[in-house]
Amino acid sequence: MSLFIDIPEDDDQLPALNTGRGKLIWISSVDHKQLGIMYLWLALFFFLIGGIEAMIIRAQLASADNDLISPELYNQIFTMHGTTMIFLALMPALIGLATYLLPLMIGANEMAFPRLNAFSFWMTCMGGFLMYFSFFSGGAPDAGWFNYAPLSENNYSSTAGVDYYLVGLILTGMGSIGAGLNFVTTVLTLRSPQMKLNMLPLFAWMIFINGFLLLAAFPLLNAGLFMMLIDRQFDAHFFIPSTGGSAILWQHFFWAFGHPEVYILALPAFGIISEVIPVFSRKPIFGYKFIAASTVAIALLAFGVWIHHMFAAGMSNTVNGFFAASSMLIGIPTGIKVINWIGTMYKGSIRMTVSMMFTMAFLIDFTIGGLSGASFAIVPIDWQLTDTYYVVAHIHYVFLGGTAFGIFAGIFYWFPKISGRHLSEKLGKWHLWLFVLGFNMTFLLQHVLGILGMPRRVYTYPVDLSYWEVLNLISSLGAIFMFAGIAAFLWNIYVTLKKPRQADDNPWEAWTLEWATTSPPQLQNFTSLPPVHSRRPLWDLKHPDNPDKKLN
Amino acid sequence: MKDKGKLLVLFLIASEAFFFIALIIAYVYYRNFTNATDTVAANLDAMRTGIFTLFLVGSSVTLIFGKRALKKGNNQTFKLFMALTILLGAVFMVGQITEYIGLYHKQITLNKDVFGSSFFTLTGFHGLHVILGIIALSILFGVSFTKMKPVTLAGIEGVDTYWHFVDVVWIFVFYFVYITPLL
Amino acid sequence: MSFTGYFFNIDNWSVPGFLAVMVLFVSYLIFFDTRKLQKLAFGLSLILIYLALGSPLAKLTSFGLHSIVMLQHIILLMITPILLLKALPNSLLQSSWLVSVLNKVKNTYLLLWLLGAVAMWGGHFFSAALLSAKTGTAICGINATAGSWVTAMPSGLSFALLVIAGLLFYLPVFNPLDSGRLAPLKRVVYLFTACVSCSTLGLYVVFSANSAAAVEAIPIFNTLRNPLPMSLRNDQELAGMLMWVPGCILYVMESVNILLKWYDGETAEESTVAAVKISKD
Repeated sequence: MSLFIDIPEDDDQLPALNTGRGKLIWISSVDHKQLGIMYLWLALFFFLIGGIEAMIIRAQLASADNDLISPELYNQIFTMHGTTMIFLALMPALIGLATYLLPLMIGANEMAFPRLNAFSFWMTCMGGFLMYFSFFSGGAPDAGWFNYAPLSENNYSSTAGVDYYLVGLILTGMGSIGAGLNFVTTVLTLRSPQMKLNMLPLFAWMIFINGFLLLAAFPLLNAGLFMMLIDRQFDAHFFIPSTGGSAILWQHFFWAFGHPEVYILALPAFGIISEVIPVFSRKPIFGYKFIAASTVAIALLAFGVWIHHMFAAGMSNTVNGFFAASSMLIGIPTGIKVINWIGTMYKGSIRMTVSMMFTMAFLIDFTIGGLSGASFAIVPIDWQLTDTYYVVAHIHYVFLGGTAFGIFAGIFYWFPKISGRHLSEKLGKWHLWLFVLGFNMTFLLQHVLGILGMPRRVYTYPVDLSYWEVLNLISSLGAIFMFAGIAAFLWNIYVTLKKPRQADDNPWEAWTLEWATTSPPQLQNFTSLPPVHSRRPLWDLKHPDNPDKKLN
Repeated sequence: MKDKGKLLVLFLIASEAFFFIALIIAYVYYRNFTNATDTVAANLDAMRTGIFTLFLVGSSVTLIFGKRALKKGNNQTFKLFMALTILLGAVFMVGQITEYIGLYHKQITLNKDVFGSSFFTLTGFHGLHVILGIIALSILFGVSFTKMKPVTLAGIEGVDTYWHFVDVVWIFVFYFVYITPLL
Repeated sequence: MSFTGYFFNIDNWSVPGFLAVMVLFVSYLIFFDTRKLQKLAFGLSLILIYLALGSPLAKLTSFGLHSIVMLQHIILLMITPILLLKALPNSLLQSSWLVSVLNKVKNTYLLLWLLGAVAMWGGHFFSAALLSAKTGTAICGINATAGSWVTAMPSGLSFALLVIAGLLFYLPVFNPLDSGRLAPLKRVVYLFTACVSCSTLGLYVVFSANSAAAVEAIPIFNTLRNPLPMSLRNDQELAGMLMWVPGCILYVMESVNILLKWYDGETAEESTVAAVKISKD
């Protein structure tokens, strides 16, 4: 008896959802392209929910002494906003793009472990829905997205909200570890035989290194989450100081995860930018080896800076000083990348597509976020500004201005490949300008608010503090612009998906392997591959008289 | 290395190693960096657990022999050593469970104090990993009796790596939890 | 006494050490034909060894400063072996015995990694025992009596063992023979995993500075007369952080260097050919 059972497979790479069979194919899919698309839809769904939460926050804070929502509800809203955006919007979006593109970029037909891939997606899904179920069963988690002890322990948070947070993140964390395992093994075992590791497209390289970060950081989070869950459910004493535990230990565990997590969110965005800029500057990337090597430096250093989230927690000056030094150091590899990206654009022939415009917005806004972050490395500045709106401004500049803009750039860049249709450039420009304008309006002045002393997570503020009200109002107005921008984005997606599939294989005249197949790709990505002798195989194919330097 | 199964398990155990390092750090922190006195250690029987440790190490040894036999095609020998491995692993688990019961009778539980919490969490997660390993070993063992024998050959590298990892983690846990209080 | 007063006092600089270093350097220049970079590396390694063992820095250890000892060890174990390996003259590489040994490194890297880890962890246990024997108090839970065997070991021997352990540990990464080196990415993983091990110990050293035991032992560690006045807690934390942050940064720089060379597409044969060519010039 043969162990191989020949199961008839559907030919349609993107089955229609209106039939029962189509729905079943999507739900049971182990195809990396379909899973990637599902990740992206999940990310969009939770991004919208997180966005509505943000709108509620800004509505509450638009005027002083506001009582639009109660303080208890406010705590739940800002906690869920942070948790949703980080774990349920940004992570799935990046993992989704990576799941979709990684095999295509390395010339493979599938990920190394397709069922593990599906497992990761559904775990992320489950974790997200479980966390949101908490709204219906006694209240959402309300101790902030980093859930400090002892506030999050039983004696201060007796509703089940924090438990939903803990279990929800354990589930999504397992999904992320699965994704990391898949990324690393896929790059190591399924590359086209001609593609050496030092020839990987930069997005693929960043995802590869990111996989290691995922594998090393999430277990630390899981350890902390389990310990707190055991504290809450079994009356253990890990983080409760009054019974011998240590609340600071939670901070250590969380931030030992939390800092690599922010690089997990940043590196894939850097990868997207490194793919988009060369194509729309019509030049190869400037300083490939510096961008690639600095990625490894960031990954290695990421585990040596976490105390900078705890400068105000009372560690000694010696410890603070060393971590201040390492935190300043970790800004250098990123700065190197920015210089190389600008160097790529220099003397290039820029094509102002929406994707490229988001990339340029990324360069400006992520740099602002990076600068405010580096300012935190200076301990006395941190002592003054920690837990104020300065931090809120910083994290939004790097997460929104950095990761989210990178994701938008990537969506506009790869949309033709994924769905066979081009997103409307006109609607895209409305989306971009409304969103970038609104974003900077909201968050630039929050730097000032923080310096003026407005603490984060306050549900309201008194009317007689000068400038607080007007600055908060401008911030909230910016949110309305962002809302309009996202509405334009949604309309763009809707209108585009109704169009017929007409995109070329390589509409942007790019050079990496994902553009060497149809748009969208068939279920089997490649029946044959072009020869791969450099980092730009499609350039070599088109310019046999002027190929890139041979690397294998 | 092109055996993607083994590669996967290697990365998985590297990831899990970080998990156990975190739990051990918590344990060492409470033991050495707080003023609390350890109430659990006095009730631990290092000798007894040491003997059960030998059973676990023994199961790793039998697994090595079993894998070698499988690769050579000696299916009977493989089945014998696999059964031994599962048996020895199960004996270790029985030892753990009876130890837990003994401690429970002395009112030492998860919520006794910070040492109870960290002891049961650390050894408990390790025990969970052992149980998962026993399940994986049993699946390979069971499948080797059916017509799906190639599955056993495909899966033995990964499961073997995982089982040795579980063993090595236990050595570290045993050292930190049972030996250091005696030093 | 003041810091400058201490450092500019000639009594605190070892004269025989200085002479030994000069003799070694001159012999190296005379007897071996090496590239400029190798001469620089050897000179630098000798300066560092002198700094660690013969300069006032070495004498500071008599004040019981953990952080100074740490600095010494980082210099001897982490930095000098790299320089020495780089400075190894090509003429020594002609010896077929040495070549076969160096080539075997690729297969024995796990053992060498373990050797490095054992040297570090074991060295700390040993030092704690030594300190306990000298002072009569328990150090981090380790007790040793005054007449214990640990005191019998001469410090010169332990330093020599340190340098040798460093050389052996670094062989898979900085092997003078390219054929004996691990693949570039494997080298980065080798360094990173060692970094994790070192950081764990550094973490322990830093966070144990606060613990009760350290406070009790204060009367023994009289740092009042030393030119770098600092509390015991600060000294201990500094020691741990030195392991951690500068150590990690060093490894990251080494990894980045490995990667930059790898990205240029140099294969192993190309780089040895290039090296042989240059040495022939």
